[in-house]
Amino acid sequence: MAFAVLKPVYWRRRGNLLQSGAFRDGIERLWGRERVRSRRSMIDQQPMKRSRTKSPSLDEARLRQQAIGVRLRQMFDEVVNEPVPDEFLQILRRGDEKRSGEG
Amino acid sequence: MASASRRTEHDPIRDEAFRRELVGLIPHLRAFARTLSGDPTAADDLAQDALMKAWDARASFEMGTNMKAWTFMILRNQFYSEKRRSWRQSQLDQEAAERTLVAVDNPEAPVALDELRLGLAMLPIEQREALILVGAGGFAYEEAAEICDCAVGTVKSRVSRARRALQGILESGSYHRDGSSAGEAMNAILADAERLSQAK
Repeated sequence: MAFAVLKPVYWRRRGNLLQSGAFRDGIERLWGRERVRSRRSMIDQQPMKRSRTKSPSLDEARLRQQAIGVRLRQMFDEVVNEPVPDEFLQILRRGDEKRSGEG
Repeated sequence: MASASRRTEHDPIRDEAFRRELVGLIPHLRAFARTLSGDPTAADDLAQDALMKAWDARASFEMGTNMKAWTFMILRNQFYSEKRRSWRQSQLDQEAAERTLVAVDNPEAPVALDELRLGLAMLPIEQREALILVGAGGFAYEEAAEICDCAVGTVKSRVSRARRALQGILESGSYHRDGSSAGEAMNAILADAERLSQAK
């Protein structure tokens, strides 16, 4: 019985999962397809009642989480892409001098 | 006790290989320090200290193993030992992040990133570091657990709590900043994510 209830829900929800398919695909690429997929199948298996509630939907919550994830990664990558200040390289150069000084 | 720490005989060829790999990790160390502490100046000091420590400890590193995780662990330990030294530091994290906001004051900078930075600064430190390592640093849960010296399950629960908390902070606008209303941060982040996803 549970199967009979879940299956139509699965297909119906798959059809209109997110209105903008391009957005979803883009997010999937940025966030990691596996994670999106596994979450989606978890969400798809929610009982039917859940998908009818008007309160902020699970799709919406998931979307927000993904948006935060994309932003977080971007914030990190921004620093990664900055040129390395020379002081950092000097530390390793000093390390060298110390060694040859010792030797 | 093997005297791996005795640095009397460093192999120059090995040192050179080590150095090359370490140089490549500098940008990542800076990013980890910056997102962890929120304050760019303090973060660079931290990353430099970690770099120095990593170089000095190079004899104890096993070439071919994960140097990124190893250096991140060093940076993290450094971060915590400095934190212990200056009590109340955790209280200051958010102030530091806000100072950064003022200092940057770049009209081009996307609002959403600033808000995210503030939200991140409000998370408990264990949650923040777990989220940064897994959500931005590209580490697997297992690697993050090793870096944080805790169980894999602990990292997983910290990451998921961090995600929920961050979303809550961004949606409720419970960070303190003039001129932005509740929920605005989340909307800005959604809009930016959409723009990014379409650009790629």
